[in-house]
Amino acid sequence: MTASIDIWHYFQDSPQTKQLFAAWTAEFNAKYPNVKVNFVYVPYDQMNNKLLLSGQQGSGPDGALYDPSNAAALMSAKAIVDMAPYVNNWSDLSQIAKSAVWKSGDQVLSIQGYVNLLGFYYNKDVLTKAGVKPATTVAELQAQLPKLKAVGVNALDIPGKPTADGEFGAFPWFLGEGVNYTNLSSPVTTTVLARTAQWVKDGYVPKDAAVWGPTEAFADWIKGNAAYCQCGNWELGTAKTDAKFAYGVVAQPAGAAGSHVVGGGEGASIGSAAKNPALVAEFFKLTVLSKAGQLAFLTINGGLPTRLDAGKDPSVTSNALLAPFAGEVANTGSRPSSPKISRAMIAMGTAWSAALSGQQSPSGAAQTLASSVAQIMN
Amino acid sequence: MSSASVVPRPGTTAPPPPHRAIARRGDPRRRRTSLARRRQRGAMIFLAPAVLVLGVGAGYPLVTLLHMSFSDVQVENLFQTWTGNGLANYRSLRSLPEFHTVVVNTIGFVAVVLIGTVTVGLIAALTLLKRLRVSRFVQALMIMVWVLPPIVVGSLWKFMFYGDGLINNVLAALGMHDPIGFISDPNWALWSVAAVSTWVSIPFAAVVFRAALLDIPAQLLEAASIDGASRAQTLRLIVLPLLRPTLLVVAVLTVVNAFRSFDLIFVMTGGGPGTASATLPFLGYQLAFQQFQYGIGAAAATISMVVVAVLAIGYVWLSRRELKSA
Repeated sequence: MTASIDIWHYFQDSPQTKQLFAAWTAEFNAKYPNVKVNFVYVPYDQMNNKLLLSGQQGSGPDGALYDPSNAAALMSAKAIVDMAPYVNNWSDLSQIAKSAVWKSGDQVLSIQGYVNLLGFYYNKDVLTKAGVKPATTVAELQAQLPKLKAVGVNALDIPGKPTADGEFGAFPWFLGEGVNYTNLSSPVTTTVLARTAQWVKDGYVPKDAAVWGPTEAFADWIKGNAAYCQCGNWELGTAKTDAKFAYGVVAQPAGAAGSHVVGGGEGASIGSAAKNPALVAEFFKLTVLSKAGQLAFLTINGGLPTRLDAGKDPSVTSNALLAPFAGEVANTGSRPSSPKISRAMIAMGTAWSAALSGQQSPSGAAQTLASSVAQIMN
Repeated sequence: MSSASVVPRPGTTAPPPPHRAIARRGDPRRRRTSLARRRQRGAMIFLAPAVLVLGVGAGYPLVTLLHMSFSDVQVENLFQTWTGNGLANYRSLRSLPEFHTVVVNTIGFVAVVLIGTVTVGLIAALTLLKRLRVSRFVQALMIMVWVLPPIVVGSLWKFMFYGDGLINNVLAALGMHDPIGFISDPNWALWSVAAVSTWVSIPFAAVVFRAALLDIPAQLLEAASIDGASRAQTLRLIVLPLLRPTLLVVAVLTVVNAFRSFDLIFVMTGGGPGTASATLPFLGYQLAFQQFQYGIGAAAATISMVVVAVLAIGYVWLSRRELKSA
């Protein structure tokens, strides 16, 4: 009997995506030759609402690849189902980085097969002119900023948009100083905001950063306008083709609590309308979550494997530009798993942008952030 | 009815005697009445699809929106029965730290777009009044601007507004040393987006104003000229009073468009920096579709809708009045 499973995604329709899906389908069909896999494109900004609606109507997909920060909300709306019964006894689960498994209590909401992480791209030519080496700590970075500015470029391009995109850039600075969503009332929150706002005032970070997402920050850096750029591994391909200068990548500079970024990328979840959830879990185990499937994704789309064994593969470790990102996987921080986390993320993005632009004082922005998040999470 | 009541008073028309008031078969008045009825029935048949489409496509969502704004709607119960919570969503909306800023932003944004669109649109229309080849070219260009998708317009202006963008480069060439943070400075961001929104709205206003200006009888303008009126006096005392209905209609439409403006803000600033350029419709979008606070988002949308509805009613009333005066 021929069965079929529908997997919703919002990957851009490109030859790379087609190649990836063909590779995944081949891996799955090697074990389940009679199951047809349909990859269904759903626009990014419609994914959550379509999952919510279809989940309620019982017409949703068997599985979905989407932004897992919304998984808790989708679970509470019963649009996805708990993956725990299908993965808890799976021997390979221990290979997946803990931060890539989205949980709520004992429930497994979503598992990421790859992550997108932020790192520090640097312009080697500018650093050489300034006579500095790539910064590995925030203290080193702080000391370098005047020298880099003296070269005549922005010292650092960072995202600061008042959205979840901005939060993706802001959160690592807080994590590096030991601040998470649970302790935002700490005075360190103000310290982090004040430090970055001062960088803008001193002209080390461009004012436009207050409305930039990671894409805009990278677009400015690739033009040769900045020494450093806090940007993601997904831009490695563009850097290779478009950079007219020598460049390299290092991990996010470490704060007092270390170097931590937060994982982006898509998570795999089983839809509540799945006719055969065990089969959908099998599909994910054999593709998105398998070593071969993750390496295929790395080769085709540049996402970093979440499996420890895939992370140690020579295709990752021997790539000097990818290695700093791969090294971050084990130390990635995570946000609290809550259906309300997307609200808290926007609150952080907004406070970050407000402090960078001077709309609010660092202490005012910190206060607003702490009280908003406390109100949201309660 | 007393007999006195049917006696015609001087200068009035007497009501017809009762027996003549009853139209008989074959009576021309009866034929006219049935013709009117048939026409009315025909009109209703033709109107029915529009009423149905509006009722289902607009009426139902509006009622649902209202219902949602007075209910506790979270992601957990979005597709279940909603429990009424009175004005709780409106109170929650008002207690948001950004609400006051957002309301002030919305009023400021609408005011700038309105004044800019009507003023520049009128000046453009007056400039393009002469039937010259260049004015036809400019009109075509303006129409092109008008039909450009907001995402294209927003992205284009965003790049031009950057610190190292075209506008700051031009200003630097003119001797201005410090770049202006058109979209990154909280004191500028809202007004920059409003300026772009105005830029998009001007072509429509100019085209409508030009059509209205061409309708002004040439004899009136000639008479004013013969009487020695200056161009400013002609504009103030003849053209503007005659344009008043059109001015009002354009103003109402501009306010409605500006009030529900969302796309340019979304593309250019994301409501930032901070909350500096966020407006009520933008906040409604964020609350409902990014934060899953459907009830509070619906409250924000309802407030926007009520304002737009009041303006739309004003627009319909003005249109009718203009039609009657025409």
